[in-house]
Amino acid sequence: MPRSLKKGPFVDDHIMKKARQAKETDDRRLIRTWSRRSVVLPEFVGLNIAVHNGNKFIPVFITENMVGHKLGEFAPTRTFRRHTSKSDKRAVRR
Amino acid sequence: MERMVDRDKLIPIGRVLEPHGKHGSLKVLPLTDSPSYYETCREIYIDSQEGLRRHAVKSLAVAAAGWILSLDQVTGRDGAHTLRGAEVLVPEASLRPLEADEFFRHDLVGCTVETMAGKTLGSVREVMMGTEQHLLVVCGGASEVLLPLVSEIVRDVDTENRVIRVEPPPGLLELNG
Repeated sequence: MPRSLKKGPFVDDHIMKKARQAKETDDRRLIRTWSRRSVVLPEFVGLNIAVHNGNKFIPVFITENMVGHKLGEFAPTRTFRRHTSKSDKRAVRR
Repeated sequence: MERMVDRDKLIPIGRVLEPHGKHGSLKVLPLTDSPSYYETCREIYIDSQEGLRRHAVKSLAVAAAGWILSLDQVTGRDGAHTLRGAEVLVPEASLRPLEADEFFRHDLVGCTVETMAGKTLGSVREVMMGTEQHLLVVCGGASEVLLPLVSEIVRDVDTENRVIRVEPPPGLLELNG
């Protein structure tokens, strides 16, 4: 069942406060948070947020495509690691 | 027909999984982001236990399980069975051209990372692939720094000189230190 529209998206107060302050002062400094449950709002776009994944902070540069998703989605808690061999796999700079 | 070719100049694009059918077709796991691009590929290299061999492609179709590949010199299920686990390679020039701000992951790994001020942070150990943005894992000494691969932070990527210039926001370099 989706969350009621009446309530609006959930964002923890402390990150909301820090994000607003960073926007007002045009501060590029990283905002550290453990709040993986907070939803990315349009006003977060352009901020640098470090989201904790249970082990360490994962830096996330907030873009428009992330709006509506939760911060935790961008800081994976399990990482499948293997040696990068030569292949036709590409990484895109966004 | 075989031709001597430098193995280092070939790029793996797939791995043979198992025979498909009884006429020598192969089921191949694509190791590429663009499997359909190679449907028109006419020659490939197979690196198996028997060594590196060039093959003409009879057909290459994209299926749910990957590619179904038919080669000129491979006939019958037994012939196809000997190629299980072999790598499918193409010359670097046959790869899909890169678009703007696209890089091969293997080109980024090993690059030296330095700030715009010229301070060296280390070298790229790996590229962590994410859904919305990728992360460069930069190792310098005992510390590890994660850098989002976005133009606001990664300013310049020079794959020829193997140098990446970054402008990290305050606090990023000390994040997990």
